[in-house]
Amino acid sequence: MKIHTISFLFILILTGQWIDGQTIVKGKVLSNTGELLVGVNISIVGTYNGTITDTNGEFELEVENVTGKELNASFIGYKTQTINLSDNTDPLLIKLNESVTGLNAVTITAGSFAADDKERASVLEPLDIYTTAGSLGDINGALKTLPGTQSSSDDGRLLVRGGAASETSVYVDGLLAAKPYYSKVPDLPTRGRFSPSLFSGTVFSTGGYSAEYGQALSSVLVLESNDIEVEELTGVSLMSVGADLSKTWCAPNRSTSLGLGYMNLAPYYNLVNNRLDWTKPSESEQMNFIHRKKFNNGGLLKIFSTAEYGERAFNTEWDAEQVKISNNNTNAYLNVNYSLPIGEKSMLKSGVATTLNNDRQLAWIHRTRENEVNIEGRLTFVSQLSDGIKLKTGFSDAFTNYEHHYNQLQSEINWEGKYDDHILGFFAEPEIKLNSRFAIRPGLRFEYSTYLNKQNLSPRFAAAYRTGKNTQLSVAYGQYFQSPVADYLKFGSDFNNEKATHYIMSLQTGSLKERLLRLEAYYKDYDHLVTYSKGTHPYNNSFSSNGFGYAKGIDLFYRDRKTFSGTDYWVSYSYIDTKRLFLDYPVEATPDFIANHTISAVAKYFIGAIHTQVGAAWTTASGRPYHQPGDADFMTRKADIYNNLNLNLSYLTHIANHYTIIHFSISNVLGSEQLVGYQTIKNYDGKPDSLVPLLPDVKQFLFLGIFISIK
Amino acid sequence: MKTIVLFTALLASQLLMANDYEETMKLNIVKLEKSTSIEEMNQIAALFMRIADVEKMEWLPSYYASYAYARTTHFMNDADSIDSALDHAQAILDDLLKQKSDESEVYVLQGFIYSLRITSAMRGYKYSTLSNQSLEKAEQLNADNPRVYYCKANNIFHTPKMFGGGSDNALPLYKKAKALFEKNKSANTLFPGWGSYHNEVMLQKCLAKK
Repeated sequence: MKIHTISFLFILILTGQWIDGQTIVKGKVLSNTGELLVGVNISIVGTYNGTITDTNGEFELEVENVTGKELNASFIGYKTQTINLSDNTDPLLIKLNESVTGLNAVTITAGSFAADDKERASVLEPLDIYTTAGSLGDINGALKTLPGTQSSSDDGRLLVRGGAASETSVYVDGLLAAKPYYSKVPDLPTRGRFSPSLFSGTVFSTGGYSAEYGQALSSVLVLESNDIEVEELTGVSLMSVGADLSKTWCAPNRSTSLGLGYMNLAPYYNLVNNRLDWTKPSESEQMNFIHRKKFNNGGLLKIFSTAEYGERAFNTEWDAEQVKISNNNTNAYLNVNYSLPIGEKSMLKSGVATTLNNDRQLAWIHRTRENEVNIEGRLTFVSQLSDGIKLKTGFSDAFTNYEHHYNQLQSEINWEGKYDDHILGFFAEPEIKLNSRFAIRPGLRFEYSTYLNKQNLSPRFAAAYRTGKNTQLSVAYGQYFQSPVADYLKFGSDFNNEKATHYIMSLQTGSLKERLLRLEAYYKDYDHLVTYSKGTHPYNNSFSSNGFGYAKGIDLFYRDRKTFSGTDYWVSYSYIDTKRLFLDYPVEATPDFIANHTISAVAKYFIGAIHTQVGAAWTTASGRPYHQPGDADFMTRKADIYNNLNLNLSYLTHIANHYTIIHFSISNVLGSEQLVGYQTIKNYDGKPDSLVPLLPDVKQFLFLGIFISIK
Repeated sequence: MKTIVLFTALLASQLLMANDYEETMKLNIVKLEKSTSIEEMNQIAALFMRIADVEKMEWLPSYYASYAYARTTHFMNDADSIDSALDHAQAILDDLLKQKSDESEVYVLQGFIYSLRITSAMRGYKYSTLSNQSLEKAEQLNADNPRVYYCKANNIFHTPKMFGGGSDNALPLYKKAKALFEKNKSANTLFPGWGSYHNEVMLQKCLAKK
C-alpha cells in the first residue's frame, strides 16, 4: 500500500501534471485569411486565467490540470473559438472566422447613400446635409450633389436616374411622407418641407431598394428623426428671409420640442432684380411639434408633426403674354410611431402617418383647387433569427382621398373629380449574412390597389461580396410598381401600375474617414407608363398605360478627406442614356428634364484660426433636350451647358455666451446665364404649343442667417 | 499520507483557482490607474473581459475593459491607433449600454470615448456634440456623479474660448466635480472612481491662469 502510494506520487511528480499542476499551452492565432491577429484574448473557460496574443500573434499560457479544460480565443469582430485542451503540448494553431456582426462585415450598399452615424455604409455624415454649399438648409439640395441625380435647379425635387420627380418617395421613421415638398408652381423651383435639423439619419437610395418600400419607381429617401433629446435648448434663427424659434424640453426618457417659423421673401426681393414680377412674394408660417418617450418595457413612442400655411403670387411671361400665377397651400403632417422590443432579438414597429394638403392655384386661365388626405398605417416585425439572419416582414395600408376642382377663367369649362384608394402592401425580406464577406437579401412585396383593382408582386434581390478589407462588390435587382400620380388617377381608374425593373452593379472601396470611391452601373426598363393624347382642353385628354422606356448609366462618387489637410471634398459624375414614350410624346425620346452628363464637386475647408468653414459646390450639366414646336422631328434640340458655383461661409462664434453660427451663402458666384432648358406650355386653342426658357427668378441668391443656441 | 497529499493539493489548487472577483477586480483597477504602458493596459483590458465572461451578472468588468481600452489612447499619438483602440472600447460599451441602460457611469464613459475621438479640429463639432449629449444623459441619471462634471469641464476646457470654452468657463465645473468627488467617496471600492486626481490637476491649471 505504502509503496503504491509513493510510486503513484512519483509518477505524478515526474509527469508534472498534478502536484505542480502546470502545463504550458502555446499557440498562434490567425484570421481565416491568414492574417496575424494581435491582442486576441485567450482564456480558460470558467476562469479568469488567460493572456493576449503578442505582435507575432503568439501566446503562452500556464494552465492547471489541463485535460478536459476548454480554451477560448476571442477577438472583436471575430467569432469566438473554443478548443478542448489535452495534455498534448504541441503548439495550437487557431484560425478565427470574422463575425457577421463585426465592424468589418459586409453590408449591402448597391444603390444607396447613407448619411448616418450608425450606418457603416455611410458616405456622408448628418452634418454634411447642412454644410453643403448651395443646399440652403434643404436636404434635397445636399443630395443633389450625389451621383444619379439631375441638378434640376428649375424643379428643386429629386430626379433620380431618369425618373420624374413623382417617382421618388419619402419616408419619415418608416412611414410615408406624402407631400415632402412645398407645392410646386410653374416657373419656380420648390424645396423640401422638412428641416434637416429634425433628422439624425438619412438613407437615399437611387435604386434597387428593399421590399420594405413600394410605390416608388425610381428612388426612396428614408429619413430617421432625432432620438430622445437630452439637452434643454432654445434655438433662435434670424435669416434674411425670415425667423425660426424652437424650444426643447427634456426629462429622463422623454423630450418634447416645439418650433415656430415665419418666412417672407418680400424684404429681400425689394433689394434685388427679379425676373418675375411679384405681387405677393412667398410668405409662410410653419410649426413643428416633436415628442419622444421611452417606456419601461423598452417601447419608444415618436410623434413627429409639422403644419404650415403659405402663399405667393407673381406675374410671368409666357409667349409674350403676361400670365398671373398664384398659389395658397395649407399642409399638415402627423407621424406617430411606436416600436416595441420583443425579447432580445425582435422588434415590432407600428405607426400611422397622416398628411392633409390643400392647394389653391391659379396659372394664367387655369384655376384649380386640390384637396388630398393620405393616411398610411404600417406594422413591421423585425426579427434577428440568428447572428447572420435578420427577417423583416410587414403590412401596410396607404389610403388616399383626393379631390380636384377646375375651372377655366373666361369660359364655361369646369371640371370636378375625386377618388379614394387603398393600397395594401405586404412584404417579407430576410437579410442573410452567409459569412462576414457575403450577404444576400432576397425580398418579395405584394401590393393591391382597391381603386385600380390591380395587384402586383415585386421580387427584389440584393447581394454584396466583400473582396478586401475595405472593398466590396454589390448587385441589386428588383421590380418596382407605382400607381400613376393623382393628376391622372383623378380622371379614372383605367390605368395599370407603372413598372420599372432595376439592375444594378456596384463597387465600393476605401473608407469615409480617408478616401472612398463608389462606382455604379445600372440598367432600368420601364413599362406601363402613362401616355395621353391632347383633347380640346386640359381636362379632356385621353389616357392609356401604354408607355415604355429605358435608362442606363454610370454613377461615380469619390470622397477624399485625407489628401489635403483640413479639406474634405467629394466629386460626383453621372452619365445617363434614357428614352421614354410617355406623356404626349409622339415617339420614344429623352425627356426634357434629363442632362446626359452631370458633374458635381463639393469642398469644405475649416480655417481654425478664424473659426470659419468655407464651402464650395460646383455643378455643371450638359444641355437638356427640348422640342421646338413646328420641328419635324421630336425633341431634337439641346439647350446650352448649365453651370453653377455656390459658395458658403459658416462662422462659429458666441453671442453672450451662447453658441452661434453665422452663415452666409451665395449662389451662382460667376454670375453666369443659368438657363437649364426649355419648358413646353400646351395650348388647347389650336395654336401651336409655346416654348418657355427655364431661368431662375434671381440670378444670384444671397443668404445671411444667424443661428443661436441657448442652453 | 495519501489523504494528506491529496487534500493539500486540492486545497492549493482551489485557492489558486478561486475566482476571487472582488480581489482580482480591485487589484487590476489599481494596476490600471498606475499603468503607463499600452501593452500592460491591453493585458488588463483583456483580463477584465475574461472576468466579464465568467461573472455574467456583473457590469463592472466590461465597464473597466472598455475604460482600459479608452485609457490606452492617452499614450498614443497617431489618429489611426487611437481610433482602433476606441473601436474596441466602443464595441464593449455598446453591449454594456444595452445591459445597463440606467447607469450614469456608462453614459459618462460614452461621453469620455466620444471626446477622445477628437483627434483633429474637423472632428471637434461632431464628437463634442455627441460627447455632451451622453454626459447630459449621465447627469439625468445621476446628478451627483462627479465624473459628469469632470468630463464636461474637460470638453469645455479644450473648446476654443470663442465657442464658450476655455479655462474660465471650465473652472466652475471642475470645482463642482471636486466637491462631489470629496462627498462621494464610495464605499464600494470597485465602483468607478477615476478622475479625481486629474480633476485636481486641471482645477489648479485653471486657477493658475486666472
